[in-house]
Amino acid sequence: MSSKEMSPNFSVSRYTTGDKWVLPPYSELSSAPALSAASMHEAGHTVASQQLIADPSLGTGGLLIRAAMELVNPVPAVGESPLVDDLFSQLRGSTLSSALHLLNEALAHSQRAFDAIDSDPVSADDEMQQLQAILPELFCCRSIGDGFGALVNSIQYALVNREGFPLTKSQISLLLGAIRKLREAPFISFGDAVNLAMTFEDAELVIDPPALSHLADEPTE
Amino acid sequence: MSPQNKQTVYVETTVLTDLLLKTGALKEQASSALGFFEEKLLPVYAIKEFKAGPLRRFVWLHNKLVVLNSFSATLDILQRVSRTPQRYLTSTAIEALKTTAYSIGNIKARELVKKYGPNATLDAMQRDEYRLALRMAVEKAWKNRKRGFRIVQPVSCYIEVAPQEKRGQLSLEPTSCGEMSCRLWPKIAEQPQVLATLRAVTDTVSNAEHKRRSQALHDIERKPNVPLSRNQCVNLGDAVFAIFAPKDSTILSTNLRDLRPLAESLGKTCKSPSEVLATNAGT
Repeated sequence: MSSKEMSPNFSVSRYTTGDKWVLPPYSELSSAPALSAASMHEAGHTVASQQLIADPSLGTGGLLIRAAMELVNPVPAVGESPLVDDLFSQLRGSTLSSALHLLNEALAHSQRAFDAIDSDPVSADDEMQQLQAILPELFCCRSIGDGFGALVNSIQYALVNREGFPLTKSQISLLLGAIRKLREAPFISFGDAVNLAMTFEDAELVIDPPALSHLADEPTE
Repeated sequence: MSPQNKQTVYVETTVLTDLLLKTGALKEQASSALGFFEEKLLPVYAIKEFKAGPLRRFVWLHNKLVVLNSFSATLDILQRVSRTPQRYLTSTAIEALKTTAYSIGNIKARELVKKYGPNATLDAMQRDEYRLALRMAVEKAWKNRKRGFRIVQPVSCYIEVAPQEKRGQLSLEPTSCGEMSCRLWPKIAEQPQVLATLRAVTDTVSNAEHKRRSQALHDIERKPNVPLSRNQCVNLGDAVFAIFAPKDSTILSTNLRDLRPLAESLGKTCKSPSEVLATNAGT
């Protein structure tokens, strides 16, 4: 697409290099940043514009974010992803960029725990403890959405309810996968968060606050 | 653990609640006890009771947190109501709610408030910690309610609808039967001897639940051609399990005090999960 074909509403962000442009489909409805295919390739992503899906229920901002998320392939497992970070921070402000920064840290800790669990279980457990220290602040970013907040809450309870007992390799793997999912899609729906959290329970992680058990008891008349 | 024989279990609401909403020993007991049975039957009536009872308390507290928008205000209301006859939660539950998974030092807490604003106050954190956990528990329970069971005795007068979120609040409607007449009633009304037997047992116990059940049984006996009302259907409660459990099944319940006499009066077996585990210990 040449620059002449771009909408007048389109605000060219920092991604101005390269000669081939890939526009999220709703660029004309808002001042969306455009992504050059060249810069995306440099960042290690594959352009997949044919995967763009419109979902009117999300509103214009949601459409844009969703489109942008689906424009690129998932974020690499660990480490910074400047493209996504910059895109999101421009769109949503500081809470989202804080969350992404914290999720990067959380992802790094859980990945290191997973890598170390067979050879050095003490280090693995310590990495998970450091992950746990990040979660209260990550929970402060829950204005991103209830799906985000619920999944962070479930991860926190999965760890707290272990009462200090180290996680197994498969349990670490599940939490790692959930954090990766949050990193890729912080606007996760509540239903998807429930489905992910249910996999924790299948691995014998308890994700409910202990108080809820008492809540199920019927008060005597 | 593998089933020892081809026994059938008929699961009552209290055990379903332990499986879906409890954590720890009670949940493990219920789950382990079920492992000893090859066929696991769950009547829709248990799902109906579960939704209208334990799950409703979860939704009620969730919505209270949403409406009051404050954890401390919610706790205050719970404590004040607990001192009246109209209690919604046990005192143990109210005490347990005071705990939080987000224990952080005062200095760190101030830093977070400075950075994230009112969302980072302890009150807001606890409010959302429980609000989100309650919604998660409700949705999880609903998705899991039929897991591992063969659903029996569907009642066309009761429509199962998943919990819905509207304006931030959860809705469980419907929790009772619809407009069409009761589908359980014809099968109950055609057994006058069973009704009389159950009423005789019910009349020996003097508590409000038994009195309501006795009245419902009496009404059906007296007017077998008049369909059950919604309230009568609810008031029958444990009697429904005693009536509809297959003869060769074991009714699994933690409410032995109420349900066992009813079941035994009809020649049926009622056991708690711990009894099943004790019976099968060593097998």
